[in-house]
Amino acid sequence: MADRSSVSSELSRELSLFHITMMGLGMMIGAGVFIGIGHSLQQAGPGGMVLTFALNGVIALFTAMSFAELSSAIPRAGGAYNFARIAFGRGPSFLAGWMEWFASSVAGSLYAVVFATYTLHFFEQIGWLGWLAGAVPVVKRLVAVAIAALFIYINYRGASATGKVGALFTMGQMIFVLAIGVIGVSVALAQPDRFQNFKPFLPHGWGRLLVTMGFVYVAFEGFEVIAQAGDEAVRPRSNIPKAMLYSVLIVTFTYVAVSLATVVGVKPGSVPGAVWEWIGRHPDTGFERAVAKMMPREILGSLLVTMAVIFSSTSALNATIYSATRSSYALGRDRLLPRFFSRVSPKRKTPWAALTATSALVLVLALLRVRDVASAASMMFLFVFLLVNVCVIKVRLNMGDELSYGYVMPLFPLPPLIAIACQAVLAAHIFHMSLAAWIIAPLWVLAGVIIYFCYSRSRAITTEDEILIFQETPPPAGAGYRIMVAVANPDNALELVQNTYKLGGAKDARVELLHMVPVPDQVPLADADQYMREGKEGIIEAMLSLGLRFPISTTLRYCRNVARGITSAVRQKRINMLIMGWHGPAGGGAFRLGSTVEPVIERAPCDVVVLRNCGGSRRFGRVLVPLAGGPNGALALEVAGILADPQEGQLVALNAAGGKRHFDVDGFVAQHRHRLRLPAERVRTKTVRCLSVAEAILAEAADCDLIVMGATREPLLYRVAREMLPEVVARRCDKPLVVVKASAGIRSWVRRWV
Amino acid sequence: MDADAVIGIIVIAAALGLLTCLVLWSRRRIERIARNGFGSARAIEKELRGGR
Repeated sequence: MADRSSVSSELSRELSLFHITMMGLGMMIGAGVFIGIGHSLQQAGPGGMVLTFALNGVIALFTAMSFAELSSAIPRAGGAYNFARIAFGRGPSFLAGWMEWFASSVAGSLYAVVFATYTLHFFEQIGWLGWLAGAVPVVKRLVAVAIAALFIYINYRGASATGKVGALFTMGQMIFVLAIGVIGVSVALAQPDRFQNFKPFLPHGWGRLLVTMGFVYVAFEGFEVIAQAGDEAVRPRSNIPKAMLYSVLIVTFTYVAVSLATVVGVKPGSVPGAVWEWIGRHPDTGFERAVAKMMPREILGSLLVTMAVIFSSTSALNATIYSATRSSYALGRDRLLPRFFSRVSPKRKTPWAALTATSALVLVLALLRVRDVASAASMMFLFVFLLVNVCVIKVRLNMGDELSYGYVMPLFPLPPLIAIACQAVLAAHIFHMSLAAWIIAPLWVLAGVIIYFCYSRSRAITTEDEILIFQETPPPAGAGYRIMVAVANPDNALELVQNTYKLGGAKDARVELLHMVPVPDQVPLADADQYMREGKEGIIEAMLSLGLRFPISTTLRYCRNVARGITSAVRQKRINMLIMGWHGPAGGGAFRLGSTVEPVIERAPCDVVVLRNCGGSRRFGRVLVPLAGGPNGALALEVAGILADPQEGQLVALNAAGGKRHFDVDGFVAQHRHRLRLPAERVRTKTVRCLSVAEAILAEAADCDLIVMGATREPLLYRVAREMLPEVVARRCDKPLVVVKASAGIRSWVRRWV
Repeated sequence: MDADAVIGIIVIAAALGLLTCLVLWSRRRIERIARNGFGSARAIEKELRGGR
């Protein structure tokens, strides 16, 4: 039985295999490929460029297999930092975290620089730069710093990168990049003479591949971030490894197609000299120039590429900043760096100190040239991944019998051994691309070694048992009707619970009171309990007092997105009915169901009852139920019957016939008579002919005490530009309102998918 | 078509083929492990080899 003297905490598992794979893809397709194409063409020629991406994909997959195996066996968020700690101990783990911090920061700088490069190049083409055209290198640096600063601020505010907008951007950039690949392959098949653009295949020989592969390696980083989603993913032991492998596979095929398209997309003879040389002449923006040539109007092609780069670089920039912040936060939390790094803003709940330190790195590195930043990023990721490949071997040999694996790689230990050798060679060859990177990266590692021996070794704390984040809470045992009440506001918690007991009373239900706590991306969910209770005293107190008065359990659930968190809680706990409050101004202005209620209504696999201004102990004399058929209407009748006054309550089932289709309201009510708690003489039906259903409902509502209506089943496109019917009613009428959705009530698969 | 091009195309095709095979092979392993229950690396390898 739940302990009613305290509010328990749990983590919200919201991310499916699709979500985390998209996360990996979004991180990987940053801006590395756009820069990598031009530079590798310049260095290794057309054939060398395609080989670069294909072979890097193989090495990246070997590393992904190592990450996947370790992530499945070591069920803690933290990536290379935790893997190294378990394999080798504190020293190497500090180095792993230290390198990860730098690698993510410099990758963020790269994305800022690429954003600046492409944006300014486009403005230059359309003549918007004016007198600034002569100072492009300086302006570029300023723009890079400005965009990085903007996303640092967004990270400080705690805005989620895993929300709807982030996923849409990822889809957008994937679609664009795939489209380029498809166009290129189609052009190549339709006009085989374009393949002469591949002559000579390797103008500078095979040796140059080692240089370009090392430089371009940054385009393959990002899948490792999926390991950080271990505490939020559904079935993590299976889905985390799968997502890592799928994302590397998809990205490699995409890059090969895009690189092929870049070369064949330009008609031979349409540019001065060989196509590959023409693109390679401006390696930073070569990709854009080539794609522009594919379009009927070049400026349109430039605009498309610029938009794609803006989307991908900004989303990757946002993600790398929070990824880098998490790395330095973890080092501070474990006292490997000063405690200052683990400070969390009491208001924003973001690790502001780690973010400040990360910002300094990102902003300084954003002042470097593209080639140097990309090389430094590639080099550091090669170091980190090399270490992880060593870790997987050490862990398998020393602890393989003690750990519980969700994935063991085939052909072990060949893949990590080959990856280690390749990564060492590629890191060495970056010297030929950028001397600056070859100085900065090793210096950073050396600085880390010194800091560890002079500071960290004597101060590191023994890590307590962390939350086993892969340990999913098993679904509750036993049968019985389960109701979940999602509370956001302590002021209406009591009336929600009172209404819950009215609704659930006859079903002898078990009730759980749930409060969702959104956690910024920069703070691991496993650490949320340390920081997120502050400011929540009001709601916790309300929940505890209700727990003493009613037989309910109370839970704080940490999540990234409240709507997703509620939906996953419903699924996980096998809830039969979800009850939520809904507040908003009655009358005047647009009134939407909101970013939480609407998606929950859409996705929750249970009955949903949303209450507005219903009070707790009120009984209603006259209840209006607008009906159009369907399971939502049946549930609306049932709920209306429960909330109506049992002695004198009356129910009016209204059919507001707009003329579109015939609905037999009498037959519908008769069919669902058994769900009504009121005697037949107190239930009546009414049909009203009208042009506007909303107007008809509002006219009837004037004489009613409560309106109970089903959530809309309108098609998605109809609803994009229009308010839902309950929203119209809520905005124009201040009567108590209940919106219900039956567990099979909304069938718009498009809407659910989107 | 010169020798570099021929070898290069073969290498590209082999790389993409290897990638695909490894991912499919790994996916089968993950699903089998999930079906049979998680365990130590040695036990899993033994079971996967024995089940082939």
